[in-house]
Amino acid sequence: MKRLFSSIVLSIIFMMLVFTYGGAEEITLSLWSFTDELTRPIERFEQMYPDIKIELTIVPSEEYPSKLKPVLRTGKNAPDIFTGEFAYVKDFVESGFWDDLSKAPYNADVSELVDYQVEMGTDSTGVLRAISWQTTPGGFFFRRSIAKEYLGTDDPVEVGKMLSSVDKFIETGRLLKEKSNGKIKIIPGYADYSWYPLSARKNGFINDKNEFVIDPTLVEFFDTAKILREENLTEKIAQWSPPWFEGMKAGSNIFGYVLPTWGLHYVLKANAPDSSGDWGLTNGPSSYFWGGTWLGVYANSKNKEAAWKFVHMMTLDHDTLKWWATLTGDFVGNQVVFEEIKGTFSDPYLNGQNHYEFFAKEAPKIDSSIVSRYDLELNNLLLGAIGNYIDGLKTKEEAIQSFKDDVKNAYPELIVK
Amino acid sequence: MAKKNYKNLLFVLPFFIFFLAFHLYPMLYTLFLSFTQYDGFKDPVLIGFNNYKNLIVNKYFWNSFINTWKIWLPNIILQLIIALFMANWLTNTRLKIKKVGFFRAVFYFPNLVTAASIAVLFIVILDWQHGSLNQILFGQETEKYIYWMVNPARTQFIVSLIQTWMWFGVSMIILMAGIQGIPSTYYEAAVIDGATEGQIFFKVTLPLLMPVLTYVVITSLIGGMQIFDIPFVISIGPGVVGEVEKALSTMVVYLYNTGFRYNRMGYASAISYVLFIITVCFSVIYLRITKTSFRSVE
Repeated sequence: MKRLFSSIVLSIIFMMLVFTYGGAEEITLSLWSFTDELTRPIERFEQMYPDIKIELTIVPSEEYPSKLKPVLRTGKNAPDIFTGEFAYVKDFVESGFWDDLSKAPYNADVSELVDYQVEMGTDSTGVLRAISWQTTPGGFFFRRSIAKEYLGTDDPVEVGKMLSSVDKFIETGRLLKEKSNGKIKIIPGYADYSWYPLSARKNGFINDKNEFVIDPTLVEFFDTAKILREENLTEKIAQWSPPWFEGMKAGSNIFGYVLPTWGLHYVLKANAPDSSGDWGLTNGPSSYFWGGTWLGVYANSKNKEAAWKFVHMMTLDHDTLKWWATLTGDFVGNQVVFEEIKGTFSDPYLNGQNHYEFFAKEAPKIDSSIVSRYDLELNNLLLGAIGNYIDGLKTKEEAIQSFKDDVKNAYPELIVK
Repeated sequence: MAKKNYKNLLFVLPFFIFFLAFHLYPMLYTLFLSFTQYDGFKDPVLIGFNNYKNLIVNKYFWNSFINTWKIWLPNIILQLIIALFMANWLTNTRLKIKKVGFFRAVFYFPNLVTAASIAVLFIVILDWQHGSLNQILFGQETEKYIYWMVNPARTQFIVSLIQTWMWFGVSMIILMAGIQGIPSTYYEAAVIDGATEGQIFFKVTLPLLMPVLTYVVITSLIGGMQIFDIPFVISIGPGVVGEVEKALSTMVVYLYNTGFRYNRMGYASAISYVLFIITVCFSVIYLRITKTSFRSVE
């Protein structure tokens, strides 16, 4: 009896050792993001590295920074890896909560990545803190049927020539209105157009003396917006409103949408599958970029090497990037990879056009040195001031002055003259 | 000699623990933060009374104070008129309306819907080019469409109307309970003396309802000073920009934007304490003016 008892006890102890020993090998990483975009990459990663598990926590974008910040400060249940969207990536980069990726154990080699993308992930002292798997250059998506009927061609190159400067853009808007008796509007609203003047600036909002600067291109934008409104060239819709989405569907009277790479899959295709084949992609008056998601490793993570394996796979591993591009059509940020694969894309939604070729040409043109960490809110205040001007509530001088006052109120540390 | 019974304390202990952890501690920590500069990332830095000094002279804060009143005042006036009328009508002994409970429930419904959903609903209804209201009023004549939310004052009034619609049911129910608490002898005496409906309402019902009315106004005032959800959700809606967005910036919206959008938590904490002081002041002023106490009517 005693023998049986002790052998049972021994086997239990043995099994416990086996299970805990097996468990101790396995590392569980915590990843925070604001969308479920990384679900499939995480599955791929767990197949590549069977003893590393990743738990994904999704926090909606509006609450993401305010929920994440206290967690990063205290370190309790902090993620090992977390993403940062363009709107607040500069904030995160400057905060120091993302580790320095050029040091060990990372030694990140970002030479193949598009310049502006690396710049956005670098803090003001030159330390690399985050990398992205994508670049997000922008384009102008237009309706082929409307172009054929009123402009005489739907060839993206030809249409692009008609939109290649501020004056030509307005002229085309007037042409569409005239030929269609006022029915066709070139864009949904003045806010859609804002990406062009903002990206055409020589000076960003903040210079190195911490002064607030309004580039002359933006002053010109006040006038452009006024023309768009007074001559009824837009549908007077706000971006991201229900009518804005409706305008993408088949049979709408809106000629084009100003959207970046992800606009094709996550906005147009998602909301207007019925207009597939009626779209083309071309340029506007200037090159711009919009959005993007950056990845980094938490500076106080206990599993830095394992975390880096994921970040490396997602952003620097050629095979994964090719897999991701083919799977989602997302435009990857690695120049070597996108040069290699750009010839193979042809999207039926764009009537067979190769959007990858287009974006591959745009990506190197982007200059992100004019981006500041305050841009999201400053753009919002700018659009508000312009809105008041074109709605007739203020004169141009009053609108510009109230813009400056608003900036001073929001960020008193800036020098506003 | 009675022995002190400590067992009683055990029963109230859970409440006190909850209160200390979730009410008192955050209140005191906010007070501490109001004397610091804090962006949520780096550690708070003590800066004395600077936040308060900046706040008192900040025109954006005082605009938000005025906005809060511009939204609350029309709301409470309309609400009281409607609620008093409905309460009087539903409790009228002469009319003896059946199924009063049904009306009570139906008028209470707007209060049950989340404020965010209501705000989104109204943004869609009042949209300039594609909203249902314009389409109902003007059909296909798009040039006649009214841009409802281009005017800051008009947008504030729209928010007041939404608030009235949401809260008049609550006020009505409380006032109904108040009216039903008035002894019927007063009404009988008035009827015998030949008073009209109007005289009964203004000379009997209203004065005896003062304590309940005061309660309704004060609770509405305290809530009103803190109005956030409807103005905030509309102000971040598509197409609401510039002056209109600023007109919807009530004190708590201003607090939220300062703390969570512009990352100035210390300053936002100071705003919350100033808001507290303002609310207390107005409550005291109102109580003095109406000279009411909460003693019950003999």
